[in-house]
Amino acid sequence: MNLDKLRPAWKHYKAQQALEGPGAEDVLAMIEASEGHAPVLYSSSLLLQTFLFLFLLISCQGG
Amino acid sequence: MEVHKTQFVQMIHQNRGIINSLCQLYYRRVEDREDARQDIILQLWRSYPSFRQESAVSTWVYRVALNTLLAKIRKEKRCLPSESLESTDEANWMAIPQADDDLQLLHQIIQSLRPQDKAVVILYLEGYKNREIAEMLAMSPTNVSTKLNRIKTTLKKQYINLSYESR
Repeated sequence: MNLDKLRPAWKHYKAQQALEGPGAEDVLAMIEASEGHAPVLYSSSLLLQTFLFLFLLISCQGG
Repeated sequence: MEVHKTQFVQMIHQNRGIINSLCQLYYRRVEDREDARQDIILQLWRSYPSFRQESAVSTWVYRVALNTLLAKIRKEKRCLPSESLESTDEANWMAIPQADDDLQLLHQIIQSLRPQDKAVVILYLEGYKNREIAEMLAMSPTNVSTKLNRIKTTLKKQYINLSYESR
């Protein structure tokens, strides 16, 4: 069994797979959706950290 | 930014054969393949600004795609169990209807390997040198060489009666 003999088959396989998607619209939708979610995640993370910071600040002021 | 996106979409279009082949070889279920494809495309998009074109675009696509798939599989721990070559069932052939003998053999061989071994064999078939494969998969060249030799020996043993004798 020589793997080198299968190189043309691999080329053929890739060519077959290139006939399928994704289309340009699908790719654009994916990257735009990922960009759209990023600020939300960033905002919620920032909000949580601010809340924790304020909580610690208030807690440590007692005395 | 829009030009950036257009170039990226075009790059994905030119390399969709690589991306689809890898997803097909690592996942059997259509939904899993689509998830994997989306993960790869998003990872490529995130890495796109840092791609300095020092290597061929296809090399960069292979590197990002394979490492994304391997990390995804490790994370999920629900990759398909590795099958022995003898136990690969008829259903596998359904994925490549009317495929010729070599294409079926290729599919059967790759499906039977463990995730990292699959990556090594795919890159070998693509024509990369051991040193390049090692760099792309963050392995040592010796490790790649050992893996390839082991895989070749196993295939030789297992296929000696299965495939070429029947021709």
